[in-house]
Amino acid sequence: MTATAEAPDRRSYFAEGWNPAAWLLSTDHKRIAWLYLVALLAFFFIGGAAATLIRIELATPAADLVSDDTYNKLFTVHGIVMVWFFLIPSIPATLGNFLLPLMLGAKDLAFPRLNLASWYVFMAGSLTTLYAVIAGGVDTGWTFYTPLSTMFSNSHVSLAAAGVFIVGFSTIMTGINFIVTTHKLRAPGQTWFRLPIFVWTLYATSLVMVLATPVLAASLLLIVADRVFGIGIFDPAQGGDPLLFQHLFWFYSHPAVYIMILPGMGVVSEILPCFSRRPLFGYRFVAYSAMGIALLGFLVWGHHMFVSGQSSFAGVVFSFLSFCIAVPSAIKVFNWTLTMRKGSITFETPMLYALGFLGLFVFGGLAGLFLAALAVDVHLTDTYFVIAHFHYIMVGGMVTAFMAGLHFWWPKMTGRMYSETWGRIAAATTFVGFNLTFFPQFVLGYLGMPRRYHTYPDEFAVWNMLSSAGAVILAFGYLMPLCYLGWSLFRSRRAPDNPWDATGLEWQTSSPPPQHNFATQPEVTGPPYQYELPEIDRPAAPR
Amino acid sequence: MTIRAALLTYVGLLLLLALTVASTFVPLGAGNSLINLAVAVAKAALIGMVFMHLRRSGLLVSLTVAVLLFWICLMYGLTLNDYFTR
Amino acid sequence: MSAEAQGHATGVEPSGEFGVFVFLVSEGLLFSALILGYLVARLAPGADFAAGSRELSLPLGTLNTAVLLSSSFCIALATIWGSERSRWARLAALATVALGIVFLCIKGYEYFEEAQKGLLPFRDMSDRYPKAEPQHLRLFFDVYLALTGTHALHVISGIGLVGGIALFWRRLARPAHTLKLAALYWHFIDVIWVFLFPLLYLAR
Repeated sequence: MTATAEAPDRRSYFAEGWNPAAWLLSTDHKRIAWLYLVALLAFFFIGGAAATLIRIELATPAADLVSDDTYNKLFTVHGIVMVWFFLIPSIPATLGNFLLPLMLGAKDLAFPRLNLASWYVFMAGSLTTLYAVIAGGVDTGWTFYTPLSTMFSNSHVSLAAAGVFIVGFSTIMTGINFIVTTHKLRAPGQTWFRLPIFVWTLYATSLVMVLATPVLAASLLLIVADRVFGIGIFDPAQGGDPLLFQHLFWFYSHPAVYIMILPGMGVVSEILPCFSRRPLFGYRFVAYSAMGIALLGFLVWGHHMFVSGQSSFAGVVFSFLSFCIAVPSAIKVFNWTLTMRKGSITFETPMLYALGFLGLFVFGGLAGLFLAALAVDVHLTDTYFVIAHFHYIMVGGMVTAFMAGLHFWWPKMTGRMYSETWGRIAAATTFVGFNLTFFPQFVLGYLGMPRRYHTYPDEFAVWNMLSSAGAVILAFGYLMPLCYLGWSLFRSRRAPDNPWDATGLEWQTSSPPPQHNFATQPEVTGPPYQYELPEIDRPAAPR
Repeated sequence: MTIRAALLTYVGLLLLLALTVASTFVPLGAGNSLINLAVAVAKAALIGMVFMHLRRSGLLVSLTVAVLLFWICLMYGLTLNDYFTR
Repeated sequence: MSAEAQGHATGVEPSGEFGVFVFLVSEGLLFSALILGYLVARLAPGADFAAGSRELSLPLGTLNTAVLLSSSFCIALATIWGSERSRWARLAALATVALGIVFLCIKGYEYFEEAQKGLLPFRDMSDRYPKAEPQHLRLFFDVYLALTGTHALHVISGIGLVGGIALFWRRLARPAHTLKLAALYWHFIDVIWVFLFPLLYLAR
């Protein structure tokens, strides 16, 4: 710290250059976040295209667009791409990558090269699976259930599973990097209970990534081994147990649901206090409940197997534990609501998205309680009720939170403001379109429409038409940000360092941040979320 | 870790290996499995404590190992709970 | 807060060991999941699953365990000598690699023998079982192949890692430190085998 301390380099991280190598070989966490963002948006639109085709097919009862076989492949593509190539890495790899070092007050992640490697591994894996899709598709559903996937499916299961397996490595790399960074690279004074909740949720997410993903790797490995070598650990004809696959798969895939939702909760915990001008209510409860969700998320996987032949005692245990996980989720919702109480609330775009998240998450979460109830679930298993439930959490929750976070930190990431009007219109459109798409599916599921079929009886036609109509609105809601955010990069006013007047270390550096994040080493002296109500809100004395 | 400690650990590991292999020639029923498991745990503990420096590593690394053991218990416990009650 | 809270360095120094252990937790759960497959098969009522164990070669298995334990001892010596900046460190690392290769050769020979006997569960061999209960025997070899195969892949990557460090010793910024981290991985592979050996070879 000799010459550099006197003349700190304040040029933004964009100043490092625009040639491909400066992006593709950079170990700067901010640039890698952009690499991920571009790749993930591409996958989001691939998955979205599959969803569009599904909804067009389901608009009418008859099979008029695709055959049953093609339909199977469509929903498999939709599931695999959306779950593994969009939702799992969505917030952690983009916003998390960009913000974690900034929020901690560090220059970069603990292992910058590992971070870059994780992107390449991610691309290698996801493109492998994409190739399997182009080469003819996979028809097992994203769950790869045995014995369908091992014995009966003639599609490219091995290749697709191998791709997902490789992407798992990238997830683990990101998880390790975040955990070590959070432990080792906090700025002076940045103690655990001064961390923003977003960091807490990223930390909890990373734990789940590291602890759950290897088990998915094991189960996919065994599927590929079965198809290639005939190692039939899941094959009943050899004395194996197909249910074991479900145990292993859901040991990963249920916690994976919390990989998807926890970072969203973190984003919302940043936005609600900022636009209510109030400190986050019950900070420690929100932090602990993130950790609680990460732990409890591992204890409930059997609720996916209520009707698949596990023992009824195991069913009861899993049902009970599934109710338990509602507690930390509810704690968070209560805390968010109380944060806004008596606040000075303004409705900027991020806040609109965050409020949308709150409503949709509560709705989807409550629907989850129906499914956790053993007896009710027997009726609802594999119906559209399940589809509606998890889309409320994953799309209504996670994608909305992703949008909220993207709009909240867009000025920081790009140094540009976007059109507030268009932002609000898009937020409202998404909310309306989402509810119109998925609320009818609750009704359909309750009435008994099974999932994974491309035709249905005429009785379901009205609700399905509503759902397909909603999907059109939803698609507009997602395409709009692509346009006005893209536009803002070139033709928009520059963002100030702290446009929302928010707390947190990331707002203390310039927009966009310099290459090493902070001109001088930041220090943290107090708790997060020190918001105060503006004085002007209360008329002081009569004139 | 000193060379002496490493050498002693190595000899200990080989002795444990001899013990566990020898025990298979004595039919003890379930006792055999128990001995094998105990020896395996002892060997793993020796490697972990001495070779991987777990004795000297701080709280953070110990906690990391504890998390692994705890999560294995979760996975095995809840899965086998299904198999034993079918 | 001093050591815990350095925002300046993206230092590998304090983070490397912790990072490797977090990675090993992940690896540990991978093998735990596979071993769970073994347990479920073995605990299944009425299955004479463990009979498959008698078809394995106990002498070769024991020898291989000893080889792997020796390699662990070797790399432990390498880290000690590495921290003393002794040139023996590099030699000990190479010896570790050599022992790893010996392990793979013995393992490969075992596979070869088992394939000769028609025991390995490849599709075209499925109808050539010598014993009375081919079903359970086959399941045993399914599990055996999955576990030892995954383990062998880890040994191969360990050989690449330690071998790479030994070869490029002079070009590494801090070879002794890197070797110490690689040694953690190598010992972990050893620990996994310590559990696989009794599960597979001694379940008679």
